[in-house]
Amino acid sequence: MASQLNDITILVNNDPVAYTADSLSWKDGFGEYSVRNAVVGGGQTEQVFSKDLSSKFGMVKFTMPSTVENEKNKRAWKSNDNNNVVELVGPSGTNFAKVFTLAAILEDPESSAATDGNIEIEFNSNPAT
Amino acid sequence: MSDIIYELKHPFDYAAKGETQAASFITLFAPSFKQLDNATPIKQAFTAAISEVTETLDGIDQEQSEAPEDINGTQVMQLMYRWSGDMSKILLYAQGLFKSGAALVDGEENLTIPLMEKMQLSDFEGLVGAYIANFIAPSLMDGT
Repeated sequence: MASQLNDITILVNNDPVAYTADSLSWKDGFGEYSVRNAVVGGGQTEQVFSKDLSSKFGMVKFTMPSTVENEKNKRAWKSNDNNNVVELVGPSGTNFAKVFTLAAILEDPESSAATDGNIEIEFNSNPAT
Repeated sequence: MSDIIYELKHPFDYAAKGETQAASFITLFAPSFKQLDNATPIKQAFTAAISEVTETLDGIDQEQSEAPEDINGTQVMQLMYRWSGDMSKILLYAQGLFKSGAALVDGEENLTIPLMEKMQLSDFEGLVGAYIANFIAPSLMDGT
């Protein structure tokens, strides 16, 4: 029986993060691929496949409740430039783990002070290992 | 002595300066007053272990029923595991102590709970033994 991955631990710089349920998503950083056709004549074509190496970035995105501690975390991660490491660890027994090195928050993260307010975090990094 | 170095037998990966690297040692610091909630139960357990274990040995001198002056981490853990108390609780107190700043990975990064969970149990026990031998046992001898 397969189990949905929805109970993942996020570690940023070795510390666990309390994040909003169901808000985590990521990209491994394979980059974008493209195909186009080259004409070989006689109505025939040949596929040309290429990888856009410039788009090979990992991404980890999640929201976390607007708490004092999370505000401190946000500021620390942002001011740490690209010297962050984000790890995603699955529940024990799943053997699920991804590591995103040289991670940086590129945009200015937005915080909400509402009752159910969140802070939106998006790291861009090296491809996941 | 305010700090010691414990060499890891089984290195684990940790995050540092944007990359992951293998930890090779842990720097341990003497407990401060703010860490008494975790340090005191460990000290109590160590004292109880000495009393209890020596009481069960035949023909032992009364003088020897106190903490020996020169004891290493391995001997400490051998002693502690012969104690009738719950050692898993002591290891959890040690976990609390280490995460509160008493331990740094490679002398730089805080030893957080996720990092402790990456450690092999034998290394963690070695860490606890070294901590007791170097900071808890001496404090029972001369109060330092």
